[in-house]
Amino acid sequence: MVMSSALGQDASPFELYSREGKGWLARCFQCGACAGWCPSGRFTALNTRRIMRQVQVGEAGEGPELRELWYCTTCNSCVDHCPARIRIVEVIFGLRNLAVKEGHMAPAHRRTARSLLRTGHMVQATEKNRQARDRLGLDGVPPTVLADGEGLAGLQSLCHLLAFDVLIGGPRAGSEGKREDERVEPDDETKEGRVER
Amino acid sequence: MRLKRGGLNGEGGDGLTERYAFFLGCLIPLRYPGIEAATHQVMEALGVELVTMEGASCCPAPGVTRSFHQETWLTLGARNLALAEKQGGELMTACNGCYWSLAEAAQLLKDKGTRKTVNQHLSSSGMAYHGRSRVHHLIEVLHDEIGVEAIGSRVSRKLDLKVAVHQGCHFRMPVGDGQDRLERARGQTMLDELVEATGATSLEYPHKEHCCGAGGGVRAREPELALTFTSKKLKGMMRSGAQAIVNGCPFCHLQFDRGQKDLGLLDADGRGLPVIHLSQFLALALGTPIEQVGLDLNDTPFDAGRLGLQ
Repeated sequence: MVMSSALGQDASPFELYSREGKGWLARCFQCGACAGWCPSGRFTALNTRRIMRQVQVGEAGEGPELRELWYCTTCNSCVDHCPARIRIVEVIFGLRNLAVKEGHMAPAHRRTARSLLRTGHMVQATEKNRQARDRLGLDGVPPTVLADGEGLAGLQSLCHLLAFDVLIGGPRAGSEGKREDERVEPDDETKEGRVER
Repeated sequence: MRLKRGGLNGEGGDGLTERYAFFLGCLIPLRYPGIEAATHQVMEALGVELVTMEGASCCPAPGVTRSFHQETWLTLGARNLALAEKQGGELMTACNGCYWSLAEAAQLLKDKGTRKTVNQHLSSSGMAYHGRSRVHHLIEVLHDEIGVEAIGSRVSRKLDLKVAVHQGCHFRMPVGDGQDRLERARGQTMLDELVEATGATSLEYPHKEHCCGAGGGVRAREPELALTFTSKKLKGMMRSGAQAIVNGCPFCHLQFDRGQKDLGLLDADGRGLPVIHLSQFLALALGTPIEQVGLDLNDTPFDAGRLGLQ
């Protein structure tokens, strides 16, 4: 992954927000507060200080570090403690966007993204939940896009417009067809399934 | 009664908030609807009008959506903010993930250029966002607008419990994103104050400020890593003598609720630390019948008798 282009002048503002202009990355003086406060870094090889350095010199996101990017829980401890007030989690999001663009996408995440495209939600509706809602005096189907076909179609057309559907390899928005790996797993319906997001 | 505006973002006047647009998200309506019911019960008991948003979607959750494609994340967030704007613009959520996602989106969309780009997308479905929605967390509405004392004076079921409070990471914007360090620090005790308004005691415990482990897409992609965080938190809570966990986020709620089973921390009778969302905890304190807050939907059993509740 070539970072320099993404962080340079030709970077889309949506690939890496830099609300304060390019100078903000240069403000990192490698103090290591981010890594020291990173809870994930205590358990894993995630090293935010090193990632910041590699971003500065345009070398982030190669090799094993690609996986480490996904160890971040986005807890913002690093941002809270950064003396230079750099939004480090925003850098992580930017790097993840680039990794995804190159096809690095965990199956569990891809399924979640497809759920968003298909239903407007990241968690599947289940019969058990519908009954629980009834018992609690709530509408069986929540009054979200789940009960608003037009709203869902609008959301799907936005995903299509932005090629999010192509990015996640899902069916064309609005298409009835489901890909093989997109079928609702029995686990999702009966045992509530894993909640992935 | 209303002391101070809680919203950190968006533009708007300083008038009193008459009503909130309730943004449901995903986990609350689809896994823990007791939180949805309890939020309504609490707001009704406190005299705040809460109208559920219609046609809203996932916030969308940053762990996957923002990690995948920031422009889609921001555009779908703007769609939700536009729906809230039509309902008066005072959006309230009971989920930290939705809060952070929508508050960040609202912040970014204050920039006219960014808003123009996003509105070009939204116009394809006949929508527009004018930058006027403000995003509030349930905790902020209760603490800053209604007030801890006012809530305490309405408590009809004293909850004499030792509680491990878990606020979660995304209840407040990080330092630098619209608030300073003092404001952030103040935010760290808001949930404790609300819990103690009921007569309960909020315990100190190791790693209290730590992440539950679920966020950022970690629960889905690296479940064992997520549980490593959760284990550390749960063991600290248990050692401190907590009788229950109170949280302000359904994703943290889920992580602690299912995590106890996954980690083998339930005792021989299948009992563990009951996990209670703030809305459910306050609904109980304000007199709502136990069966109406949906704690039976938890994986880690909630035993009211064992907690001395009737």
